[in-house]
Amino acid sequence: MHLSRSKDRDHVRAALVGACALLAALTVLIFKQAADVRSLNARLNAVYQKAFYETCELMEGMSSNLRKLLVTGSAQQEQILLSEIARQAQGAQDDLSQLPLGEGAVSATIKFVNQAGDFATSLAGKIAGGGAVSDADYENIAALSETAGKLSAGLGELLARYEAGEDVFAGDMTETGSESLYPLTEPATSYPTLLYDGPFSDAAGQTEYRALAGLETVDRAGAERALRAFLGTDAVTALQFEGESSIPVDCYEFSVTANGYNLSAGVTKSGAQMLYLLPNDDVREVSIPDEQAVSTARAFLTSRGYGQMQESYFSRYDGILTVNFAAVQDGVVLYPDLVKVQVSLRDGAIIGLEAGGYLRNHVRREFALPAISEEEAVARLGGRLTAREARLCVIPENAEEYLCYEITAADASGEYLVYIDAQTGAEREILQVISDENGDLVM
Amino acid sequence: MNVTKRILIALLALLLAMPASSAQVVLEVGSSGENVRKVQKRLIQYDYLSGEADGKYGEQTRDAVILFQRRNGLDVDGRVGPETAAALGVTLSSSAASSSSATIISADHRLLAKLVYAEARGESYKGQVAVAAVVLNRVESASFPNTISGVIYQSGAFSCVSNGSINNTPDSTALRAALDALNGWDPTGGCLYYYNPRKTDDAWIRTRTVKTVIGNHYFAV
Repeated sequence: MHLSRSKDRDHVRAALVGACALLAALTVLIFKQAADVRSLNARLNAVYQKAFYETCELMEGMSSNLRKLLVTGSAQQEQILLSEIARQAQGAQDDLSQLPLGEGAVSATIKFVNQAGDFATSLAGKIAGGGAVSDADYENIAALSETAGKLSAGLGELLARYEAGEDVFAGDMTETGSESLYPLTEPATSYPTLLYDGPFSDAAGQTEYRALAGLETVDRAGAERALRAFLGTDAVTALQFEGESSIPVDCYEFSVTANGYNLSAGVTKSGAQMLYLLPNDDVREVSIPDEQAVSTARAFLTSRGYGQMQESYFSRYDGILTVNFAAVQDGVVLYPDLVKVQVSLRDGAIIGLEAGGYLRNHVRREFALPAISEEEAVARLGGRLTAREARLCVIPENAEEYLCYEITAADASGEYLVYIDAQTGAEREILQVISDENGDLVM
Repeated sequence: MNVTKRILIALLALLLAMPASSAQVVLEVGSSGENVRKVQKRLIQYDYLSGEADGKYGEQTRDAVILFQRRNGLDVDGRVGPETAAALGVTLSSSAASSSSATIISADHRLLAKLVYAEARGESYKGQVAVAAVVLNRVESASFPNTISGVIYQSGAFSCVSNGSINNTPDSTALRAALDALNGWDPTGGCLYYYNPRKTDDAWIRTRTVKTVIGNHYFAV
């Protein structure tokens, strides 16, 4: 009896000790976890803080450099300031995209710094090419400088509030109570539309489908007939309407089975043109060679009325070969007028098409006679390069097109495509040709 | 403490060693590609093989390898493994490993495919290309960062970055969808946003103009 009671007591004691030990272990664990979380939070906050301080610093520097640009009289100083501005804008963009302020709060600010940097690069290029800073450029610089100044002040105020202990990053910080932070992080709505020669200019990115202008609008049945005819009436075994879209041109969307492949298709309402075809399923077998697939693709485009097309490069992914074609007019390759075709290497069926570039740009061009000859263009190549062949082409740059000599040239390091402006002789673009077992690519 | 450290180091070493051994490249009859070309170039240079390096491991290449192995005291098996490759002075890259299914994938292609896999793996193929295209449209847009990684890792832009699912390995469909988007396919026609109307409670994104609906996603500008 006595023995058993003492045994019971032992059990209770052991259980108590165990519970205490468990509790102690848990407490230690919780404290350790909490310390870990605190340290992680501190590190993350340090990243945000750095981005915040740096944004302010770069915005201030940019604003001051833009003001200096307005008053400097030295061309050398102009170049230095412009490259500084481009660098500061890139840095500010990096930092802004790291701040946990929400997409809506920073997108207009990111647009501002992107345009400022892009404008600076474009202006530096213009000056290096012998151009002068125009009145319109000065107006742009003045507007950018003013906006940068205001933003720098707004961010400075936010920074001061942050330093005073206000939690400006807490949760979704697009608004604090009823007060919006937008006016502090966003450029004033009065900041003007910037028109200049760069990819982020307000003139770039406007999409007009020139090849569709004046074409008749078709109904759904008409689009369906066009799709069947395009893929081959016998080849199509199933076709289903999926909906309408405006991407950005108005389209009917279909899913279709042709030659045993399931495809998605977009057909424009104007003129019932194929905007895209996409193969849903992967293709793994390869039983026909690349060259044969390229000629199949070319013959297909010809038979569908695309006129003369020139292939520029192709790439292979498993059993699908993607071939890039550009339209040709009077022997001049029109690089903006692109059609990409995908061929199944299993059986040579056409399973993909991307004709956005073609439909946006393909109209008859009026060429001015080149001001410089092919020999003169070749003579402008960099000294290390040896020319192999040259031909005339049109290349797009931002919103403009330029008639150029495309010169295939090489040195010990590899093969390049150099584009010399046929009117001014300026080198507009240089691409490196990269060949590997999956095809040729240009970078 | 010291013991724990040692065990940790051993574990780490094991982890580091594992991928290296599993990714070991061996070339044999039937192999093709850049690795084979490299080997053939050396064999031609050392006069074991004549003709051109065509990148296809045929019987002639095998015979040349056997001869090389015999003369250099290596195991004679007619295949090019790490030892024979080292003796030939070539490094076999595992990314370009033989067969036609292996494709070299650039960093931005891989990152884009990871995003597609995390955000749209249940969607149709077109829906996957569309998600990749939105990322690329953002890169082109002035209102967003100017690189693929900048757009994907922009603070608060994609939920798969905040919840870590972007770190999963993409399947081959996601890789192909990313590649088609990089090649210019864009079933959204320039859209900058997408959302699942059943899942989002973000009021702001609902104010954007919807251009097309693909599967569960609304695509908007």
